Amino acid sequence: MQSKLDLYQRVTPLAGLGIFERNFFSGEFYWNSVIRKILDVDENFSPQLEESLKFYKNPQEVRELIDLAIHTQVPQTKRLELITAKNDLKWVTIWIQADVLDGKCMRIYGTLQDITKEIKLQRLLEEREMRFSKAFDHAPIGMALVSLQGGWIKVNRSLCNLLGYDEEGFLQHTFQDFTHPEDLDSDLKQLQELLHGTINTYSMEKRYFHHDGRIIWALLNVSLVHDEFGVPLYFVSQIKDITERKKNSEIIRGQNSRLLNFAHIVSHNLRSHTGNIQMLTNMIITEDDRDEQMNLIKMLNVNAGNLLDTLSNLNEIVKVHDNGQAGKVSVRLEQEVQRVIDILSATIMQSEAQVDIIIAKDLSVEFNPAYLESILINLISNTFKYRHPDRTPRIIITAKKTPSQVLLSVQDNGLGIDLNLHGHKLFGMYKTFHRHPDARGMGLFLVKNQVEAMGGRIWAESEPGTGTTFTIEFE
Amino acid sequence: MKKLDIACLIDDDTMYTYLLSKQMRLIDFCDSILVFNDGDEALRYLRPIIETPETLPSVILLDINMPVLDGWQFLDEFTKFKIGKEITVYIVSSSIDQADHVKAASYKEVSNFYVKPITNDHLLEMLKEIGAKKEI
Repeated sequence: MQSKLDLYQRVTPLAGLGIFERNFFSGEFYWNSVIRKILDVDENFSPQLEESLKFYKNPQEVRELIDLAIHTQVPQTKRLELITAKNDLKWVTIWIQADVLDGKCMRIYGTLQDITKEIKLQRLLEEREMRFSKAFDHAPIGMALVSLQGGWIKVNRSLCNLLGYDEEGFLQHTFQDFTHPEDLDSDLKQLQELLHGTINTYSMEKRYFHHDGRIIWALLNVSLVHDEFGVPLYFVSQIKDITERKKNSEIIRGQNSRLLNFAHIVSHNLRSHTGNIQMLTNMIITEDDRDEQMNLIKMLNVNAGNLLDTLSNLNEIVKVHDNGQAGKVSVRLEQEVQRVIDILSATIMQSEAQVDIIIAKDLSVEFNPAYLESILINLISNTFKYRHPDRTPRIIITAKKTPSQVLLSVQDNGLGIDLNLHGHKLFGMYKTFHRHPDARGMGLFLVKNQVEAMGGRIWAESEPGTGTTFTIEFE
Repeated sequence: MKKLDIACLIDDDTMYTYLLSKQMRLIDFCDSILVFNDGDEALRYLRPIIETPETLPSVILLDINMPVLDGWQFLDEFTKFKIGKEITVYIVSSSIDQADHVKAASYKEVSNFYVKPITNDHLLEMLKEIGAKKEI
């Protein structure tokens, strides 16, 4: 038995296990070296029970544990905090067993184990978990933990807000429900690659549907979290709203393309005139005949006038874009169309044209009234300018409201235009398509610029010999 | 350098066509000049006389931006013609748009692209090039 005890006493320190025994009957007391090390005391230290309890932060807790062990005669255990002789704070796990004889406690014995390191690690993990949880819940970008099967594990408030749901409503949908069908395949494909380990993470710009139906552009970033053995656990998705950025870059792209187009127009039109001016001045210099010289100078004068006209036309366009969306007010379409018809009444009477206006009286749009007048005058007077020689002009002006926009159409039964041939330059500057003496190639170019400056769109449908319909989409 | 028989100008800028015609006469560029103000006019004149090479021009100076039928549309029709005469086509335009220059290069019928104004040197260069072609 002695050797067994000896072995026990030698082995337990190896396991870092402190052993204690206190015999109330014989007064015997034993602490092994591990306990002494935990408490930072030397071999000679042999305290009474009450004195030893003072190491614990809460001695009463230990007393109750001993009482319970005595009372139940079942080993008791607890995690306790103590302060060593060197004033270090440590965490320990204690096991206590009591021997009771005739209702009297003969001895207590048990083990004590230093778990400070484990507790610290646990605290650290808890704190990290809390920090992650806080970061997750309050992140300004949308975040979600998604199961390997594609179900939501956890979503944060930003994500719910982004798509216009409360958390409960959100969780009733799958991410497939929210995803624009055109972006789904690419998303799923990359998710599979992530799962198979061919990629570590992926980002993509994709479209989600907001609760109210509109499209949200988002930058999605997905990574896969593994456990300690490398087994995939769940996906972490970060979803950042880039709708505004997308919209802005769209606007900038449009502006850049218009700017480049404008630069070409400016360069082209100025060059035509300056080219002529140079040819003229060269000829004037070398011309000997007085009369011909005078003739050339007159032409130079005409040319200078043309150059000024072109500049003022270009200036008109610059002004339209300079104003931006300025001057936008609510205008009643029916009233405006009626007013322009009155302005053009002389032409209309002369041509015996039939004009039908099918517009609800209360239909209004946000638009610059001066532009609207210019647009209507251009479109409506074009219908007379390019009327069919064999029929009385008939013009139908309609406007209708759809849930997201207002469409205004001006339809005629005139010459029509071959859009396959001319469609790409219909709205170009100085583009004319019929040999009409008044055609300057400015009207539709100006119209298009005015419509676009107000954020709208314009397009044409036509059948040569049958007629043309111009349609404006108001923002 | 040998002068040409017939030169053809297709351009809607009437002042330009007047001035260029005068310039051509001054340097004795050709015997006669045909002027059209758009591609359609030119096609309607040229189409019926394809069979008689002596009435066809040996050079066409073609603008791009014109009403009714522009330079490209003219070329698309013109290149379908089966013509028994070597006709050299030059694009003469105010366009500095790179896209126009690239497009011109895609037509094998187009020999060169001149940006306006046309100078005497340009005309002499054309004469030289067309003369060289004939010798081959």
